[in-house]
Amino acid sequence: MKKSTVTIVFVVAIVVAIYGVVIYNNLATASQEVESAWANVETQYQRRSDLIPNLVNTVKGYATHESETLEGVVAARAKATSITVDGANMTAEQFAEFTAAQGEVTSALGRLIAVAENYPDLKANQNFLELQSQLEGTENRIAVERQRYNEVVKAFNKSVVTFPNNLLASLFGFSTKEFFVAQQGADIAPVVEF
Amino acid sequence: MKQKLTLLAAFLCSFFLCSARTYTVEQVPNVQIANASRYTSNPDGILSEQAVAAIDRACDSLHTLGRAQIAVVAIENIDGDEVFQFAFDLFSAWGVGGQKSDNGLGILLVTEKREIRFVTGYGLEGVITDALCKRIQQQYMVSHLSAGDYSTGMVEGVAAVARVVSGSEELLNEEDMSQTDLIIFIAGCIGFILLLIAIILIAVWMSRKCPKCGKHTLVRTTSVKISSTRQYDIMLHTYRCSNCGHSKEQQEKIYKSTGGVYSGGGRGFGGGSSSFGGGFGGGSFGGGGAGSRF
Repeated sequence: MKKSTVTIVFVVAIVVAIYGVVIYNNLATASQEVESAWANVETQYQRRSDLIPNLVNTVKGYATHESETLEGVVAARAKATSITVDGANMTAEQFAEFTAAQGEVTSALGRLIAVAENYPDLKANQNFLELQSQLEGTENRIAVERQRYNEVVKAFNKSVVTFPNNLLASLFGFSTKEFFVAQQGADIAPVVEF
Repeated sequence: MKQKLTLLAAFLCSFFLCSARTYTVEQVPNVQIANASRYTSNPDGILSEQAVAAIDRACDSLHTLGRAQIAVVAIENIDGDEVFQFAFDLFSAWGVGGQKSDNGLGILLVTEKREIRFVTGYGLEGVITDALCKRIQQQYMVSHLSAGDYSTGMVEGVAAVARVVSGSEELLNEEDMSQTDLIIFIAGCIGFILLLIAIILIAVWMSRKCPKCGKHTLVRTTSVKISSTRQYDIMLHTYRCSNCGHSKEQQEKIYKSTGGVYSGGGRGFGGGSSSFGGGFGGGSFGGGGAGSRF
């Protein structure tokens, strides 16, 4: 082999290596961003979870005949808190399990708030009113953090699947990540019947 | 027939009169951009002039104190049904609150939706909690708003917010440079100057080394000009070691200064004053706050 050929091969190898490092760093940074966005999502779910015992106790004092609804909330919360997901290595199944469990908490809480409508004393209770507003604020925070998480994941996924990153992404162990989708039927307004 | 036409015309007229203006997030005028002392966007004239002035004053003093940056918007209707989402998008787009402190508070009144909505920046969530937002709305605003007295409701609401925010102990003040940043900057400058002085002292000390005995005891005894050109003088310095008595001579060129000295450019006009507007501070929101129907 001629000396010039060796030099060319050497230069090309160095360029490829540098390129690989750049791609790796970009993907690793994007992956970190996804993890921190996920941590924010979890924090807000945790915040909601922390509100529940107080809310249940307040409702219990007024709505004595609604033990089923109350137990539903407590059970859904227990199930949701038992599922912990590692933001770094999250499989699609784990993600689905987590969102399903949290979705159950959301609907159980929805039933609880609906039931509370039947108790005028409860609705007038200042403590309940404030817990309700905290719950609403937390649901909004969850929505905001989910939205931010989705944005970061979409940027990450885009950089993983597009050329030339896709050639090296799987080699470095990066694959596309899951993101939140609107709950089925959530975009359809409920039908009001009289 | 004529009667029918009149009826139709009357119907159309009433339709146009009743139909409230609907805004998208981009359409709401941002008054802060034109004038930094204004915080109330009131494009439909829902609030009275006095109310707008009172709200602006309260918001301006809170902002000057660095406690919070408040934006108030009163409009007739919004595009879509989600008042929270609209308020969140609007105040996020405006960037209400400081970029670091996120001490923004957005207050949105949508009369057609009969809803008042607060959104708090990350930095204010601990001061104006969701529950507190709700309490302020219930105690000071809802009764006025439901009676159609929007001006009183909004003024009292903002006043209540101002009491809560200014009663809080922690200062959220930061604009361009926080106090700690400033201290670090000054300490850095002092450290740099000390380092320079140390380098000069070491250089002087090294130059005093006697080539014979190695002690740093050389002292300049005489200094004579031996020749002179147009550009420089040549000086002959004589050094003598006070330890061993060794003496050493050294020549040095001393350049003459060449007349006119430039002392930097003239001073231009400084950067624009901040009191002419420019928009909110770039704060971000996390979904905190509360809303009430009236």
